[in-house]
Amino acid sequence: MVTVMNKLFVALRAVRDMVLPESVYDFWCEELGLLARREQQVARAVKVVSETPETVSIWLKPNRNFKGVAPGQHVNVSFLVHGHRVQRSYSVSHVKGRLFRITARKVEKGKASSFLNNHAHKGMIFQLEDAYGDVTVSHFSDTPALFLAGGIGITPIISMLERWAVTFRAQPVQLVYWGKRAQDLAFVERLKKLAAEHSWFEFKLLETEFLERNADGTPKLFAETSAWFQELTEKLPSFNAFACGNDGFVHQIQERIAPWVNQFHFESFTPLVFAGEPGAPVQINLTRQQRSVFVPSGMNLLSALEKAGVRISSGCRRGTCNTCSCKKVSGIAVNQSDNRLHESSDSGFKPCTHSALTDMTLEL
Amino acid sequence: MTTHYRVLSEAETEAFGAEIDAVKQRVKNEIGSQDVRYIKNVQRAVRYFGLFGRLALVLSFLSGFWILGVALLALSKILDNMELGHNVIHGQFDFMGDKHLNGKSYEWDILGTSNNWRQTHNFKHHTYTNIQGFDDDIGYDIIRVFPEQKWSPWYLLQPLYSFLFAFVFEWGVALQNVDFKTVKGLAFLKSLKQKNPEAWKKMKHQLLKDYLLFPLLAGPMFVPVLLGNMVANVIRSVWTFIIIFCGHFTEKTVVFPPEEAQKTSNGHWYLRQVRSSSNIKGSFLFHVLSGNLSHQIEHHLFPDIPANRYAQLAPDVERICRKYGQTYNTGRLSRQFFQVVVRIWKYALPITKTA
Repeated sequence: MVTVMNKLFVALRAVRDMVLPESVYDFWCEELGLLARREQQVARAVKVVSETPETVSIWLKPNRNFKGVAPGQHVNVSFLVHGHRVQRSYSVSHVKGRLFRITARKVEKGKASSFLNNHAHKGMIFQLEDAYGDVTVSHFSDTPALFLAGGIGITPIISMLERWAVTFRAQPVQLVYWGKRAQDLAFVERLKKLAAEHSWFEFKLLETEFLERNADGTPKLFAETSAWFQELTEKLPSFNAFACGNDGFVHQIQERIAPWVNQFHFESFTPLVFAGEPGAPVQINLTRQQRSVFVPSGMNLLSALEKAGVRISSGCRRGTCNTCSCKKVSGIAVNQSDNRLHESSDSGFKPCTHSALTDMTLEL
Repeated sequence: MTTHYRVLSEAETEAFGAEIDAVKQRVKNEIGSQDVRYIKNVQRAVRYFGLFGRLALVLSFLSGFWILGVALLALSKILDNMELGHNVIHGQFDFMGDKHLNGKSYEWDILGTSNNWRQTHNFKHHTYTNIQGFDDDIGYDIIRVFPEQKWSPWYLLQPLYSFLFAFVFEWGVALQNVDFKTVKGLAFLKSLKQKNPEAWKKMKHQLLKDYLLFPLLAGPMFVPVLLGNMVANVIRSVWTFIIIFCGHFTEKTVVFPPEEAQKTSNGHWYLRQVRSSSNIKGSFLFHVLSGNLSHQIEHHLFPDIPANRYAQLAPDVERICRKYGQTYNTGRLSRQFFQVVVRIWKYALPITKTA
């Protein structure tokens, strides 16, 4: 009986795919303004809020294919910028049922963040990938938490705070939030309100503009003689700490805090590092083959991958036949015919006409 | 070379390539929202014409609806095949990152698989255009259209079978990558199933869809729907045959000897594309229906540039061709197709040199 049912199911599925294949089904859903898709995970912007002159929050309503996201996790989100798809990873800054919020701070020459700050609108459609990230609310449920945020690194932290604000929190949470100037920082008013409403939450804001400098010119995050730092250090052994910010920020925090706390987690935004000289090795991560290889920077990427033993379909080797094209998830390449930099993610990246300048991730 | 194409020195060839490259780069920088809107509108036309065409066929008990249904469905299939599928499969719209407009995964509403097309067309035909022994599209191995192709008595029949071939051109494309020579008769079907299961599956899918499932869904209108689907497919075949044959087999196009494949520089490659391709003049609508293959020269020079940009590229390409003494081969459809027919009749005979 089960076999018959299975066969019937397979037959019905085949009929469905003939009458209404995925591409046609998805087209009509899009055409009719529906979020439904047969397989794709998409979301619609339902609210756009300007947090600061250079920071925007977007509330997204995902379709049923999206499995959901927990506070503290990240989602790869892609959207069209002047017709070209760009993909970025955002930490969610709030989760309310199926709805979630992403927050983007405009960065200099940032294609995606600038576009969102200037053009994000209600009804805008985003494509999503599965949420990821292990540091979520559950990591801090039974222990005191110390959160250390640098600038827009506040996003995964505030999503956890918002969750505890509507559920139960017995353990204390201490947040130290650094930023150049208070008026440029997102969620400051909300954090103040949370601190006023919840006894478990303490919040300290530090404007780096006024802090002492390290030898390399970066702000000295901890004034070791200050009363608040003295007070903090006494509590450190009982804390599970989590730092989020740019690479330099997290590095400084790690040096000062990690040895003293119970557990230390961090997430940082790592700028891509250009390989030194032409020929210096760069790491190419191949997501489908689940392995990484090192190739010389500056060398034709198709040839370099082949030389490194990677099996890759190819044809004309001049960028016309599209056989070797694949998705470039991250990394900077240079087009060998016109020396133009290729920095954004691209679903039609052609290794045969590019060389890698940085570490790179390809869907191969 | 010929009176139509001045022989260029290496330096001239390189300069020719550099000028074509510059034109390409200029247009490439402009690609964006405008191209997205264009291809989305083409996709919209394919879906709406397809839907209304199939509905009209179901309602074909009403006067005139069968013809309307066939016309709309044929239009949908032509657009899906030519302006949407062919261009998308070239990866022209990969920059959109749209799952359903992706060059590596797009599957079209035609008997042949997209994967087969990627191999025979995107790679072989576009990389080695009109190079003997490399490009299987030179007369599709069954029609002699150049004196350089070896003659056999079989070709005496080509005026007849080329005419018939136009009606089943879809099958020709689907079976282009299949070896007929070693397996003959009914054993061929078995061989196809075993050696090329993807092609077999696609053919089955298309035949079941157009000639069984949709007619069954139409209930009492089974026969009109079946016939309507068949006629729409035939119209699409004839149209694509005409457009594609006009692209490479007009009077001034040339074929190249196998050693030409060794010349891989941009200049040589671009020159080959110009000398082996021919355009068709027409209105905007005509260009859309031809999948912009009416701009065959631009398509061959820039197969990865969105086809809606070819009209914009054409004046510059023509200017550069004139500058370097290369004929920019273009003409109205009637003129170009007449030249194709002349070639089919002329080279049916054992003529080995052009007059």
